[in-house]
Amino acid sequence: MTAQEQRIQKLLDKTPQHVKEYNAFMVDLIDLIEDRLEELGWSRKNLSEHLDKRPSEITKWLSGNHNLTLASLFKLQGALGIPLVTTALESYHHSQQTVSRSIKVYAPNKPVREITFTNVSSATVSMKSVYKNAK
Amino acid sequence: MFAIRYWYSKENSLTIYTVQHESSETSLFDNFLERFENHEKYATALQQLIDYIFAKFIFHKQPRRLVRHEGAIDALPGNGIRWMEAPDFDNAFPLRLYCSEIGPGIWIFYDGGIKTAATAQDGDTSTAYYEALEFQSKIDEHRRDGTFYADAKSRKLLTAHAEHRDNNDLINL
Repeated sequence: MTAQEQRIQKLLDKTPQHVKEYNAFMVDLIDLIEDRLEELGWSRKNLSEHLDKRPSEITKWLSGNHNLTLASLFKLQGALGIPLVTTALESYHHSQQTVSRSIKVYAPNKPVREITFTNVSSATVSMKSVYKNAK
Repeated sequence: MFAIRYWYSKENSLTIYTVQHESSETSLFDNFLERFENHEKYATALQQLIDYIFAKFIFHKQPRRLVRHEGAIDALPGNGIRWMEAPDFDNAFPLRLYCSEIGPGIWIFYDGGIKTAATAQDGDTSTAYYEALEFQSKIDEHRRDGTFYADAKSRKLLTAHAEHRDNNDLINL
């Protein structure tokens, strides 16, 4: 490890977990908002019009000079039409949702077959279950 | 006279360089770290900034989203970040680190300071801001005349001129 890496690691080790999680959350939030604005082809001025606010107020919201409240986040979420705030309970329910996946199976000298898996608790279907169902 | 010094890179990350005065033994970015590492009031702000830079910014696909544009120079952290240890602090995040992108995936970190005024040109950050601007302009000049170039593939600054090459970590200008 170089001296620079050691110095950075020492500072990272001192950083409390809640601060790291806050930074990660804010970067995700910035990405979500910027991606959505690009997708909609909106400028910040367009966003302020949809929120019925002055452009300067939106700049303040997004510049860090204003402690964004939950109410502001929900207003932003409504204007942009994408979820920005997800509760832990929603995340838990989402992880419990069942999905179905279809997979095409190609085997030598056999016609292509499509197998549908239901009640898959995540988006992942293991190769073991594909093999078991293809037999 | 000054030198551009290689500072940090990780796999799939940006490459960070810094700048060093000929008369100084430490680089501008090292000076910045030294000033705040054990600072009575702002050590926690430095820790948060370092996490923001070295856990997020250097791996981000669009790093320009994570900087704030202060005239011709950029600053870290970007918009939207508040100081977690003092979220009600008036000026949002109290520290600024000046930086600029000088090639694809290649960034220079300069010095910074404590934000005490509405604009970078005023208050305690003004010396570091103008110093960064001056270095950026000199660096641009050297790039234009071909003293060194930014290699996009390796994300490194390279020079073919022996008189500017000290070792792998340093380009003397």
